[in-house]
Amino acid sequence: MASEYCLTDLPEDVLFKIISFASFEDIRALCLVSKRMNEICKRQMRSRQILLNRPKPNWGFASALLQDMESIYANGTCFKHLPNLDRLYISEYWKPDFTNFPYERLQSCLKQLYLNCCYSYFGKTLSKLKSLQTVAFDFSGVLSNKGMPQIFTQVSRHARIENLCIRVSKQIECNIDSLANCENIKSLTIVSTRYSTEYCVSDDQLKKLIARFPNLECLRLMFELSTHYAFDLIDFCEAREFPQTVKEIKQLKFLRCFDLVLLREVCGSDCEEDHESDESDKKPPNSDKNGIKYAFSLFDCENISKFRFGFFDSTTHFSDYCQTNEIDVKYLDTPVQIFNSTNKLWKDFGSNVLGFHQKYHDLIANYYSFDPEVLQANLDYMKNLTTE
Amino acid sequence: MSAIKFETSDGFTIQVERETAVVSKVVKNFLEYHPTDKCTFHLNCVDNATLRKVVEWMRHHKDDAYIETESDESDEERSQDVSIEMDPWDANFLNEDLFFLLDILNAANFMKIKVLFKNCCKKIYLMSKGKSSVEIKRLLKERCDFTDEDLQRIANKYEWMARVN
Repeated sequence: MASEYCLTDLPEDVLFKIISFASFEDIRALCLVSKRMNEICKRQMRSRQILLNRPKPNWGFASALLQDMESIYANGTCFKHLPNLDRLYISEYWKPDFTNFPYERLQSCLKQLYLNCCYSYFGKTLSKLKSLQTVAFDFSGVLSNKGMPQIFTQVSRHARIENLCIRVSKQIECNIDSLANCENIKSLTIVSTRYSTEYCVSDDQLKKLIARFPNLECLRLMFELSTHYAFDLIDFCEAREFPQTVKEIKQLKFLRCFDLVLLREVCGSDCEEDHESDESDKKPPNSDKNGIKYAFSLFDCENISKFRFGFFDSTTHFSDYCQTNEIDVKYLDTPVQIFNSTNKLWKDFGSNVLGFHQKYHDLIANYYSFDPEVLQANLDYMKNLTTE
Repeated sequence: MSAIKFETSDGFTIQVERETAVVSKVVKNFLEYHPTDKCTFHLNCVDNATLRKVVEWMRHHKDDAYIETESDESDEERSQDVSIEMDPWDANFLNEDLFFLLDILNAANFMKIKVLFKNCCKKIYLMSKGKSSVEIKRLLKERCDFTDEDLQRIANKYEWMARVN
């Protein structure tokens, strides 16, 4: 006589195995069965590790996937499930086996690849993905004599890659002079996990590094540091290393580089409580206008017709950095939030930053409706600040 | 010919020829380290009806080479197989109601009969395939512990899954 217990009485690993056969549509239905099934379905989805080729990819979902990655058993199984994506993110917590990666199937559709895992796991296979236009690498663990030249060589040989994003958190060890020239790259984003790139890349190295991209049209330098508040920006702008870095870049005089973006992290997800409780102590004294003036004095860069300056949220995922449209909305909206408060700039600054956190997801959801005229008005406003 | 005995949770004893019994990885491993012609395995979580069904499956597959291979695969290798196709005989053999299927699955898991375990998983999945969450809940007699608001939120959150290729 069979016993009559619920399916969810089964051990989690057994349920996980059952769900491993399920299609996404079926997983969606299973998610709604019970809380326990929901958790197991989430685990299953994480293990498949995909971002989907939708017009507006669900980056929130992607971030959620990352929160529990240590527990995921990574073996490359997910690659069999990949639909015909146009973008794919692979987490740094993985050491995936790319043996079964569907290169042939994806070679005509995959346009964007974000590798947060060690590059060596991906091997010398970039060239197999012929439609790639954007690649992003996290160099955290591979800024070595071996890894970096490999990547540069691969990227330089690829016919269609135009956008490259690299994230650095350790000092570059390789000889930058020996790196291949990436003549096809038009847009380069360097994300540093420190105040300035200087910690990871000296000014001299940065200059040499950027010189490997002779046809750059857009350069983005981004600095993330989750333990600092947005208004550290002002101190930051007045600090020595950052201006030095920018000056060095200006001296390069890229003839075609018309778009320079400098983004600074707003604050980490852990900051808000401290910020609220300790706000009065953290206000920088009378440094707002000087900082802003300094930032916008960069507008007169000889060959840079567009200079954009703003903040981003530390909860933003690495792969977002390469999404021009999404970056746009983040930093475009921030001036609206922060600088429209005119006379009480710093008084309202804290609440605006917190408000920015609140609004973040709405912005992403609505970024297509952003009005460029609003942006221009705010940029004009900020420029006026520098001439007061 | 040596025989192995299994004692079920409801007090029955079933005698099984050795070459059939070793389809179970538990039995096989035990006999490798404790060579004997006679021994009894106590299956505290497998009842008589379920064990008879499982033994029928073991007899049918005892000469299949892939049973041996499959059992020796690592979890990693095995988890890469997510095809829902299965041997037609197995598909027919497992045409049972859900609760009996769960008993067979538990027995296969306990006795480490990987192919049977996997096929039970597939069969259970196929029962829910293409069904709505309400239908699945009815099928599984599962109690939903979500509020209506939770359900709406989750449905919205995962709405995109319905459109995945």
